[in-house]
Amino acid sequence: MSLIMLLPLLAIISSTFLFFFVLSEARAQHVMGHSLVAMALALVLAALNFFGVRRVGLGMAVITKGKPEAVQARYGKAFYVGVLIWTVCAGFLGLWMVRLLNGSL
Amino acid sequence: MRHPAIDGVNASCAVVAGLLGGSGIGAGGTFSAWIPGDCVSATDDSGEGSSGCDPGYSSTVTFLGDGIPGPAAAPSTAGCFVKGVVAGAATALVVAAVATVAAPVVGATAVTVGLAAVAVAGAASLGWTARQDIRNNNWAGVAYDAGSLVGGFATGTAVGPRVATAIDPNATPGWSPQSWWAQRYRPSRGSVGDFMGSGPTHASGGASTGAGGWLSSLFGAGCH
Repeated sequence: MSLIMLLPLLAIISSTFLFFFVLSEARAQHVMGHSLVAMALALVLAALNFFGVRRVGLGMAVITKGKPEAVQARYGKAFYVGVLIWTVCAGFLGLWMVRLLNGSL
Repeated sequence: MRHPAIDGVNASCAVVAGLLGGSGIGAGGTFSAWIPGDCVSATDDSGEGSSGCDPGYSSTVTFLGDGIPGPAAAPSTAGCFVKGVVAGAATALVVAAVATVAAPVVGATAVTVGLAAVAVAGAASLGWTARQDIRNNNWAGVAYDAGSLVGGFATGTAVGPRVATAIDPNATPGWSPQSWWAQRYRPSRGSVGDFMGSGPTHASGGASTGAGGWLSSLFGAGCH
């Protein structure tokens, strides 16, 4: 039986995308004039995203408990697509946060 | 020699082109403008219309027609999206083929770790490239990136079960969220190496192969 589950993989992929997306923006805008701060900000957002995606996935596992296998599979596929869509949205949310932070400092 | 302020002067060239449009220059082609201080003069391809200004600095502008300057060959957004889909799918197929061929040779642990690394690299490259394209208002590049995402995702999902089965013939099928908790890493069951050696499920094999396809965002000549 294979054990590498989809949930942490999706969380890692989503957070990596967000990290580099935000880092690219923060470096371009010279957030607070320091690249270390930009990297820290990107790391915090990526970590929040990782645990958020993981939390939602585990919540979905609880919700679908006891449902038929076909329904569970449908939820799993929906979650898969949902995380990919969320990943793109999270990138823009991070972008907005970087600009907000940069504008207020 | 290029005058330091030549970029700001290009607007003046466009005005000159508009003025000369009635005399035939606006139909397309190129013309040169000399800008010694405030003096602007121009010639068309035939040499007509020049003045006696000092030709110290010059700029050449390409016109698409009707006196409107623009890039000579802007990449099409739709074409770049299709290009991205094909590139993403092709890269995902390459990742799948390499994983399938390498699994019996290097072992399940190495291939699983490699697949995860490729997935992370794909997500990183897509995130970085997409942001650069958006910042540069390069919508053809953004379309290429979106195509890479779709092509990699679709192909990875389709070939994921084959990749997982090649790594471990008893790979867990299905998409049930219930298995996400049951399959988590537990130190009591062995090392992280043992955990990775159990190989991907059909779904996670597809996700990692698909994200590996996003590495195609690094390419895309003509769109980026």
